[in-house]
Amino acid sequence: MQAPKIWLFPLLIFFISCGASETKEVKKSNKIDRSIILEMESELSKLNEEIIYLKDHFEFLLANRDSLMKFVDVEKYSFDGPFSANTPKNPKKLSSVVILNTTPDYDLAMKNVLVTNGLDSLFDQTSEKYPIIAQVYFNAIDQVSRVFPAYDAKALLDPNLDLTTFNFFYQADFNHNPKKGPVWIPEVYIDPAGRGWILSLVHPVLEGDELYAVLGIDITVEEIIRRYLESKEGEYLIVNSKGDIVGGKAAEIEALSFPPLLNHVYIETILADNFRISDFNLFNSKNREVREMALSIILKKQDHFLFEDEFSPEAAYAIPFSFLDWYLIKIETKTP
Amino acid sequence: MKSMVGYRRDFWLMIAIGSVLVVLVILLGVSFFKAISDSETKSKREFLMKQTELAATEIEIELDRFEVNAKSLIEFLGDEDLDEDDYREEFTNAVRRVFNNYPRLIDTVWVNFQDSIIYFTQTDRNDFIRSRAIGNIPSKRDHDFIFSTGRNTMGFELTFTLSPVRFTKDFVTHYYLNEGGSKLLMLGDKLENLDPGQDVNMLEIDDASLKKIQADVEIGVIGIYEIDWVKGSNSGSGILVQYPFNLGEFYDNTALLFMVESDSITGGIYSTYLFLFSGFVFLLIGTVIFFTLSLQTNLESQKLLKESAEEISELFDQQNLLLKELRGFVFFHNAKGQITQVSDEVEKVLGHPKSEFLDAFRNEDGHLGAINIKSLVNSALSQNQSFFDVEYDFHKPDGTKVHLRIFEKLVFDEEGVFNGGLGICTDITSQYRSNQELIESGKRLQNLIDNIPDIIFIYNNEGKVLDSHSKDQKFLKSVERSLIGDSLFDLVPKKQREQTQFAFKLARKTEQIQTVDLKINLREHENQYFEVRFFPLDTKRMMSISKDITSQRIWEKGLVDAMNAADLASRAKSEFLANMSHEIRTPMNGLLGIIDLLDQTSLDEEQLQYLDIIKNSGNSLLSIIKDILDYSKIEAGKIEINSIVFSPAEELEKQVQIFYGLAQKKDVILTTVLGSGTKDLMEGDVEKINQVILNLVGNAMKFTSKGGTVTVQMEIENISGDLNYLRCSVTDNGIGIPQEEIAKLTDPFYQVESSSSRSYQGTGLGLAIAKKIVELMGGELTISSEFGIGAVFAFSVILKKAKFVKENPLSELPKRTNWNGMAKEYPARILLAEDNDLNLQLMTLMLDQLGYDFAIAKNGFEVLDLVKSEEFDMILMDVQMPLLNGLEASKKIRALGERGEIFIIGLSANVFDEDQRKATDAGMDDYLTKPIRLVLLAEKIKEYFLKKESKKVQ
Repeated sequence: MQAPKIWLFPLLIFFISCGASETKEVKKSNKIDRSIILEMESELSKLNEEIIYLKDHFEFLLANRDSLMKFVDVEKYSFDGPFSANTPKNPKKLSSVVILNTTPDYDLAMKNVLVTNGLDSLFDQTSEKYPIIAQVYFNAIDQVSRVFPAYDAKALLDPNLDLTTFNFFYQADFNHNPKKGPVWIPEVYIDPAGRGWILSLVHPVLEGDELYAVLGIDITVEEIIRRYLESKEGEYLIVNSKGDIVGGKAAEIEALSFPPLLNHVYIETILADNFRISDFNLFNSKNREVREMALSIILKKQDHFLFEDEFSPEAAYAIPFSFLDWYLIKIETKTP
Repeated sequence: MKSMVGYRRDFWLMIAIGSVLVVLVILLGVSFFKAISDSETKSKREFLMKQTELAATEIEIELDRFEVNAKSLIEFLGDEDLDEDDYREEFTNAVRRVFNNYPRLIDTVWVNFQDSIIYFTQTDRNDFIRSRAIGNIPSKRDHDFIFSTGRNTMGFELTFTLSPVRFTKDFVTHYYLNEGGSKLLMLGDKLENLDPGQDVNMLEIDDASLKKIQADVEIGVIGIYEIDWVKGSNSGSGILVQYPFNLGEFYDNTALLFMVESDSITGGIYSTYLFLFSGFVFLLIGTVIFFTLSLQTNLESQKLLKESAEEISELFDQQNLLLKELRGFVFFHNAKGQITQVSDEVEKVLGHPKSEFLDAFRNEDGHLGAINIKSLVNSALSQNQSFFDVEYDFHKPDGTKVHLRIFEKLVFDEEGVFNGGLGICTDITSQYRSNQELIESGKRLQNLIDNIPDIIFIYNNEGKVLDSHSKDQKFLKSVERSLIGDSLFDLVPKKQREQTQFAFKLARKTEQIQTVDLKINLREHENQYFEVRFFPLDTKRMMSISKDITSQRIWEKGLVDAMNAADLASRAKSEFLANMSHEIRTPMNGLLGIIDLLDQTSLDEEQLQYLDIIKNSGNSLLSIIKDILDYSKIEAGKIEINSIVFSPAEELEKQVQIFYGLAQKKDVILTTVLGSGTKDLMEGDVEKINQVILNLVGNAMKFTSKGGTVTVQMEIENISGDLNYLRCSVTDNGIGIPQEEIAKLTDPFYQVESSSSRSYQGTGLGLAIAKKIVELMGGELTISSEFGIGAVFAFSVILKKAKFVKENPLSELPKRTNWNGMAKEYPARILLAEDNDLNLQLMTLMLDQLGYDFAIAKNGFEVLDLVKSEEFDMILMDVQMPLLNGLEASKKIRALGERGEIFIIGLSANVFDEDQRKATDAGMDDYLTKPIRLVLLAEKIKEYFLKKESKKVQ
């Protein structure tokens, strides 16, 4: 009499499992391991030491300006108007140096260029040491700009600009940076030289007690992703606090229902003339749920979001960066 | 019945489960259908979504490219090195390429060269036209879709008028939707039909859905909607996907809408699935029915199987039990003689454990028993036997001997090859022993029969002789032929046949021995007597043992003759005694009567003294005669017990009172001690008890000297119910009796010989009579004494407790002594019938003295005559009269009727109770024994006077 009752149970279970909707749950294993961020940030924090090292040298040069003036190589750069005449193609160890038209004292500025010529070798060294680095530069209060490696400054830079009005300068000034230490600039910008999104670390340089210049190290987001995320299992995306997609693979971006990528490459899309960052903002996704995800992660600081819609990915897991107002998001797509 | 219920329950349970199963399968089917349909719908939706997305993104990419291309045209115009040909030929070609790259997108391209405006366009026939424009370049106000490159460094500007709807319509033809699908483009709030064909009806969407779509398009999110649609004459529901995209830089809030009908998604599945599913359900129902039916038969056969299994198991258990009770075990062996299986009982039967038993058969040099069995098997095989049966003694390891029986069946396969055997070994020791015992007992019986001197016959139940046996064969030889086959009853003399048959049948019926004495005439004049005892031998046979009792018969006959002779002699003596006593008593009667009369006369002192002596002697003589008569009556067995109700204590007192005078005279203290219950009324022959008491007390008084004591003790002891022992003892301290004399005391006429005994007179019959009386009444008389000290005489008799109270207190009245002249008081007319002169004389004297006149009759006839002629109150009738005795006369008087109603009082010398009974039978009212004493006569007359008076009153 027991047997028939017993075989009913699996049947019932079968029926129950047939009818029941799949309940989603957060898989712990899918959450992002914070060690990824830590690893990334420890690497980036080395750049902090590097920039301090550069600042120390810079300040040494400024402090010994008079004695250095005797040994400067006046012939190193020839100037064509505000721009140094050298191009990115020849001699490789040179920077692009610009004395903008907005300089209050051209001669003084030229003197400073000569005093700081010695930084080129240091910049080169740093670039060699950290392949992640896109460029090393400083912008001085007297409108002198030195960028290593050299770029087509004449084509790309408007000589009438005031350097101190840019975030890569003022973010390091005494008002924004009372500690006078290294500062990561949260906003990324698109590199005019075609290297995509650029992230900057800046540091003030003092002459005496006065701010003279701001040192900067630019790194490309692509490089960060390549170095730290590509080896990791899963598909990652980096967004900033506004919801803009800073980096990520095309597949993930397309999965989140954004406009088509040019040749299915995000960086190409970014560089296209008609690129609008707002199109690639999580809050502007064509998928309503992606917008909700952005709300949940960026505004509500949740560490995950589960999609319900059949056309959405499965889930998203997020983790904030500590030194930047960025988020690393892992997208779990539906397995067919 | 119980299993029937269980079976029914199983059956219905199966039906229920089957039904549930069918329902579950239907449920499963429905869920399965739902799952398939859901999945199909989902995949369709997904497909629709992807198609829409793909189309929208491709259009977007195309338009982006178009913009890039358009901008490249203006850059072409910005080249400073261009000559006129370049402007004319190359530029035209470049524009044409753009036209061709984006077919039907561009209507017209306007080129503003500052100094002139030209335009390019392509006709429907694909003719490319370049011409100088007249008028202004159209602006956003004139045309919905305008794309302008803006002015280049040279001030040139390109303006495109576009037909993105047309372009899109062509573009989306590459994207396939299911039949009935529709494609739409939403521009702002406006819907454009993208379905191919010119005059195709546009899809109309229900308002609610449309509003939702428009809202979603406005904020730029994808949507998927379930809508109701109308398209021309068709309508239905459908799934619509809306995908927002940028229609280049020239139009915002654009979305591509693809729709498929809902029915087309699931319709196919539904029809196919339903068909399959119905088939499946029918199949399942069929299966359930099939299983139910097969279960039904299965259950039935299971039931049968279970029953037979139970039966078999029970049988097996019973067999096991039987085997256990039989003290046996079963074994199987193979062709090599090795035991393959043996039941556990082997140890109990043989005393060897199972393993030893198996070993014994395994080895060639095993136990002798095993070798024996093997050789038996071999010999049975050599004789082509299929079984053997053997019994033999077996010595158990503990030394006890058992008798075993082995029955073994040899097993052969189909080809007749010996395969082994199975056998049963049983311990039949007790059976064997009882068999032996039976044989022994048979032998013993045979020995017994052989040595019995009697003739033995064995018959069947009908009496036919089956066998005969005679020790000396003398009898059988005399028959001179075998009697076997003859009927018993034919052998018996005719006279005795019936008796023999009766005894034979009775013995058969009752199964008890029946004895018949047969007289068989063997030879002429020679009779032989046999005592034949019949008894059943078994259920089918009878047996007789005939003992020759001829000599015993002869001896017995002599004995009987002698006994009869003695008996006759004794009877003669008694009769003699009785007659003699009668003859003596008649003169004594007269003598004593006269003395009584003489006593009433006036005499002098001397005369009185003599008279007294005569009277005493007469009385003594009478008493002696009476004793002799009593004793002879007892001897002759003529004494009878007449039970009446009495009070033992009262009677004792009366008897003892008689001796008070003597006791005073002898100065002997006479006391009575009465036990409890002695005053109760008892039933018994009080006269005889009194006789015994008188005798014993009289003796005690007689042998107790002056100053002695005599104590009479009486008690009643209950035996059971109404029966009681009356114990009475008389103790004296008289002379006592020597020990050796005690036993002889009760012999008749015995008196203790002693110097003093002479002074004690008596017949010597008193104690003998007393003893006889006591014994007659179921008691015993015991005497114990010590010579010179005294004696104790005790007796006990059985009495019955009286059930009613004695009525008549007559005895209480004071006794009257002088009855002279009583006739005046109690007048009566009396007839006296008496033939004896002496007696007549005596009676006349007595009646005269009492004052009565009376008539006299000398025989019965005279009495009858007188009765007929005169009236009398009473007749005093002598029993023994000539011609017609008193008894006969009484009968005749009673026969007279009213005339004969006279009181008749019989007078006789016969004192036997038998005589009195005869008198009563003859119709006499009362009876007086001779010698008639005056007082007794007076009392009788008075009694009947009173009766007569009372009768008169009535």
